[in-house]
Amino acid sequence: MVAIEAGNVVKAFGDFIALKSISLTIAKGEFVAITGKSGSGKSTLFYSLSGLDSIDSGTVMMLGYAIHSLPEDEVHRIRNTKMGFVFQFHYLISELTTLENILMPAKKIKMHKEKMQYALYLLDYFDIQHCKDKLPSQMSGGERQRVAVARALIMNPDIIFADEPTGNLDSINSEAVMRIFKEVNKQNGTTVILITHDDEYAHMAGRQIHLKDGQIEYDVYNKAVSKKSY
Amino acid sequence: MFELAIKYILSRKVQSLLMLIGVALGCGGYIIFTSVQLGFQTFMKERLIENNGHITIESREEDITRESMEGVFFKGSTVYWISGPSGRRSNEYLQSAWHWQKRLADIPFVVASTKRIEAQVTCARGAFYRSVTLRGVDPFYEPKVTNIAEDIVVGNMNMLNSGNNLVIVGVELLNFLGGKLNDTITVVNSNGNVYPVKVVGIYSSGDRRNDRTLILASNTTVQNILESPGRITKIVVKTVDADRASTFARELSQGTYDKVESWDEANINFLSMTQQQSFIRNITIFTFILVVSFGIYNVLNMLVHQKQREIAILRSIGYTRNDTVVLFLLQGAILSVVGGIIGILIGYGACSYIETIKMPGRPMRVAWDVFIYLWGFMLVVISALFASFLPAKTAGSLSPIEIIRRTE
Repeated sequence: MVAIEAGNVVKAFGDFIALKSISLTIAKGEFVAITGKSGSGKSTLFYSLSGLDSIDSGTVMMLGYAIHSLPEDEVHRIRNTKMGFVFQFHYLISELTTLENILMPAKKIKMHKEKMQYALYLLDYFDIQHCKDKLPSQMSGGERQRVAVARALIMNPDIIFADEPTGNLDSINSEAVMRIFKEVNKQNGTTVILITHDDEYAHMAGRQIHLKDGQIEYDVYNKAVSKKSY
Repeated sequence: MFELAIKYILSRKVQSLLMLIGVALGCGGYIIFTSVQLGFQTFMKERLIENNGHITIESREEDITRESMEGVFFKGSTVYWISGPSGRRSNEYLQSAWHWQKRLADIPFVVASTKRIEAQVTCARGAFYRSVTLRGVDPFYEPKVTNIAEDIVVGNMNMLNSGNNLVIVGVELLNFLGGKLNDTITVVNSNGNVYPVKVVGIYSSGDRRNDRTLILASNTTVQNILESPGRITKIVVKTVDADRASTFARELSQGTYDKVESWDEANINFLSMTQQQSFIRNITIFTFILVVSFGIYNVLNMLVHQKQREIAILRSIGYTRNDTVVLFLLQGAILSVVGGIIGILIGYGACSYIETIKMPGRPMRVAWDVFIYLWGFMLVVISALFASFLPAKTAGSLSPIEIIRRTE
């Protein structure tokens, strides 16, 4: 089963071509780390694959949807129900409590009451139940990022896109967040696409796609972590 | 979105409070300003109508021309004028009063009409004398057309019918003459003939000029003093709607040579004054609302910039452009509705207080019209929504990826 299939994706910023005809396939349930130096095109690839950014040419099929050709409402529906995003900065809404932040995606489709139990479970699972009624300003960086991950998971998405989620965290919290991704991937079969600078975290993934100058330099499976599924 | 909009409002208390005060003062200011001004205009209008009804019918003064002299001399002959006729011809008395009263009785928009005879005379008592207006009225019909009877503070209108040569005199005039109730004063007509009249009533309209120069009597008494039996000078008409009096007057003037004039045509300066007042009021309100709108615009615009990251995450978790537009529009709407309600309360309270302020003669007049309140409320809500629209649209047009790239 394919989660994402990209064919000859090209993305340019003026004269600068950030992605040079990239093609790749990511299977459902994979844990993929996208690595590369700054300017290698990993963030551009990440946003192009997730549909957050447009592409200049090529195709991206996500869970069978041509994500760049869909009407905007449909894209938002897919983002809401099939995708979860975690960014380097937590992007929590400062006026909402932890629980309210986690339930925001569910609130969009008025499912927040149905998702309440699951939200409480995630709080417990991520060991942040004590933060349930706290505002983001009352929590540590690690706690906020775990809340952001919980928010990404609340709709049981098929794919989680994580853009350097450990970038602002200390090593202990970074490891905790990575452990969560691993467990979510393993237990729920959620596809995780992770951008990271850190080789150690890249090796925790089952597959590493390394970019250089807008092209895939290497795409390797770490058999010690997970088996190739296709 | 509503819940989040409320949280955004509550999270910046000072800014929200300032916006709320601005909206409330805008709405309240509009209500107070408009109510007081319309109250004043209504008061002025009533003063004008209460003395002279909605429409007056009088004989027309005319310029004398060659055509108007046709048939006067040498009937059937061609007349060549060496020097054409000139001057003005006035018909002091209404020639067709009886026909008018008959016609008016069948017109649906006419509530009542009454006849009057009016002339300038000199009144005197001892060594004191003054030129005054002697007005003959029909004591039965006059109260159905005007409010003069309500200003009679001693006696009543019907007493004019209880005998000949009885008058009701303005309190200021009576004081000037040094007279009192039941005293006899003298009236001198234009022929120099002197008639004694008895004071059977006193009136006080609050208008000193009126109270100094007007004497009321029955039509018969005045016709007797003016030595014009059966004559009248005008018919005063009350219609179903004072504001449509000019339309009714035009309708009545069809097919007659008499002068038919509505109260507003007769007091064109008053209309000009009220229009100027309304213009000034609208300019002031517009300026006030503009300032309030700019305040709302600035606060929301700043908020959109502050909340860019949150807008990005909302978009990435499935909220649409419209959702973000609604989020900011809602804030403007909530603040304007709450501010508008507070403004209505401020306006109502202030108007209630203003109505108790005593002006010379009577308390201050305030207009109590539900539409003033509704319009004040609508005005601030629409202005606030309009002011919120641009920041909201900006929020909706933000690209999540652009925001994320900028943040990184």
